Amino acid sequence: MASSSPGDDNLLAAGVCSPLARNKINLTFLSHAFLDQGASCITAFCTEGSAGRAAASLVEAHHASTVTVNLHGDVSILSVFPHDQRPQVPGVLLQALARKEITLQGMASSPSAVSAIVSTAETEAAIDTFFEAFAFPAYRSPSDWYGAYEGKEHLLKKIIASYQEKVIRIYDIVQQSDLDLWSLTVAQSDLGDLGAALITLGQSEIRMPFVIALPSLENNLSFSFCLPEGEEAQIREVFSSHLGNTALTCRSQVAALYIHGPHFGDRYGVAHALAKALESNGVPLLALGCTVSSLSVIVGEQNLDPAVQALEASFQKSS
Amino acid sequence: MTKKYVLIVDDDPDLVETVCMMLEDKGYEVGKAYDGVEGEEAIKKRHPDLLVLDVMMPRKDGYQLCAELKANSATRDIPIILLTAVGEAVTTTSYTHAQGMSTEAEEYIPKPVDSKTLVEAVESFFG
Repeated sequence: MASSSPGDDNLLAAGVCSPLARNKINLTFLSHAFLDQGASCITAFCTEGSAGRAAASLVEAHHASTVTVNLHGDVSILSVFPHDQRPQVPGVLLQALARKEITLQGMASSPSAVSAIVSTAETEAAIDTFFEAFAFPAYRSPSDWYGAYEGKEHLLKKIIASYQEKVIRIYDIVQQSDLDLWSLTVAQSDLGDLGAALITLGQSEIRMPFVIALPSLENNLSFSFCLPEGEEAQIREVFSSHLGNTALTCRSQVAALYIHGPHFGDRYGVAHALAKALESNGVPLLALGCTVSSLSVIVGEQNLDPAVQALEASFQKSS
Repeated sequence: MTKKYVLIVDDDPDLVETVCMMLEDKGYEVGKAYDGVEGEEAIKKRHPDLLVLDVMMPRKDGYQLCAELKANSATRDIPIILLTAVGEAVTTTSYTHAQGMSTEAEEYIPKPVDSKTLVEAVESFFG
């Protein structure tokens, strides 16, 4: 995790993505947000364990005095899918982790999945609690699931070579406007209540296409998520009933861009291409979540068209 | 008119979501499964008009599912588009495009998938 206070516009592109891409370090998870109305920003990313120390050193070296870098070794990414933009999915996930007092170290959504970062020591307990909280049609038990992936890791690693095109190919860029970007910071002990709030929102048929959680000070988590605009009063009421007077900020008129299919996680440089494209075209990025194989970007609605143009110029769209 | 039902089987959920979105835009009804066993179960529940099948998946890979479907008189008629890896770009000796070509699938599309190619391939089966 790299954090900067005051919020540094260059943290993501120049401070994190560029040095990692230059050194061919692949990211398997990335989330980024400006917090406290721009007063600080945090980037959390995962690499393979063997590259973690080198990645931390590279980021530290770039911004030695202004950026704090924390390396949390030995973590796992657990992804639950499909979420179909239902807030109940991250809500149930948060409640499941809270019930077992498992520490959530980060979270991000992709167009299909919600990914949670937990320590490897707590991974087995997290999988067990997910199996209690969700119904997985394909797997009856955790042991079914472990059995499915046993012995496949070497094949998954070997296939990486097929995705090293010069210009990164993507399937599509999908836009979604008329959104609000919400932020709040909660303690680990409040994750169950936040989960309950999200479940309540879902019961009202409110859709949540984007969610990230970043580790912040004192073992808290800073969440940023998008909800449809025009629902602010109802949303505030739901959060207030579950989380009391927790500070909740809402930035209106934002848009989401989903970049499908760059095989994020399989190759280095994908996030760098995105961050560089937006930065060099003067498009401020409000929040970012990269997990599974896609990128989800939040920008101000007024910047939607320039953002799309910048991304289309930097990635090769297949049609 | 009844919508054609296309089943997508791939262990990359984001790819499933992308292909699903593309085909729904074209008026197809789309089912999703995330590995070979789940795909097999989905086919038992509802016979698809077309199957888009990834090769490298846990539990049961695309080759095995393709072979089983083509060996079964109840499922032999389901057209299959196999998503294969391009041999020269892959370091592994398994799951190459060449190996995919040796199966009985009706169509083979190399990964990374070109969305336009995939949609055109699907549409070619329905005139």
